[in-house]
Amino acid sequence: MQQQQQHGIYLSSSSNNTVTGNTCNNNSYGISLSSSSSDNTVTGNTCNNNNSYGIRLSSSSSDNTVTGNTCNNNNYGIYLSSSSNNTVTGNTCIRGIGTPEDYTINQYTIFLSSSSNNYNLISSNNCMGKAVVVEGGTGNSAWGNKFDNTDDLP
Amino acid sequence: MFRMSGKKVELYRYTVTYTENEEVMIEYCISEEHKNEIEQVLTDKEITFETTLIDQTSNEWFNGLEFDSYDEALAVFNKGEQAYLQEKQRQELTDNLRLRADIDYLAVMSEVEI
Repeated sequence: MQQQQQHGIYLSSSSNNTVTGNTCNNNSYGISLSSSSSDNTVTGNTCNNNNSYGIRLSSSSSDNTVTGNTCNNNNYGIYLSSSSNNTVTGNTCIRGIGTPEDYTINQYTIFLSSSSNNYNLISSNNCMGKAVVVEGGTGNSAWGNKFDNTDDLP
Repeated sequence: MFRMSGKKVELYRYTVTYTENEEVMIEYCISEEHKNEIEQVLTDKEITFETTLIDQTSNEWFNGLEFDSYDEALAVFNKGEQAYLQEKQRQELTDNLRLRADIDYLAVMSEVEI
């Protein structure tokens, strides 16, 4: 899935799947879970250089586990919108190719959009270049994510 | 209107509103540079947009503060600047009293007059 598609992998209203070991580069969306997709595991995938999202959870996608994926140099590495109770851990989401000269201000590593993401765990991810951004919601926990060369994890 | 970047609060300064695929989209921008970049992307795509300045004058006290979570930040924001300053002052007073007590204890234990 390395051509200019809208989605590399797209799950809609789909539950209890495991998406693993895929390469979804150079699309608009690398991997997208939408429309109440729940209890899925997305692990060990590579989603680089997608011009919108590396991995996107949207429209009430809940209780999914996103772990151990590589999402570098996307507009948004991992993006959550209106999605709750998801676990996002141990992913690598480098902004651009990791140096300030190579990324834009509108390029993010992990982004929780608007106020409708709740009770998500975002932890132990490598977000070099940009800390996790949370726009709202309640009960979200973002900690232990590395975003610069200091030892101080947010 | 704000977001958390890691532990740090960033106030939104502009909204850029446009329509794409018949859906109204709003981009929130934390700086003029950020706004300019969004506008440039939309201009390159030949999408018309409308930019609005957000008046954050009364919220400047909140910009750049650090919290462990968005919930904690929102609670402080909702209480307002005066409550935040009072809490900060109370915390400083408590810290000073605790430090003074520690010094007094060490002085007594080491039989040093201060």
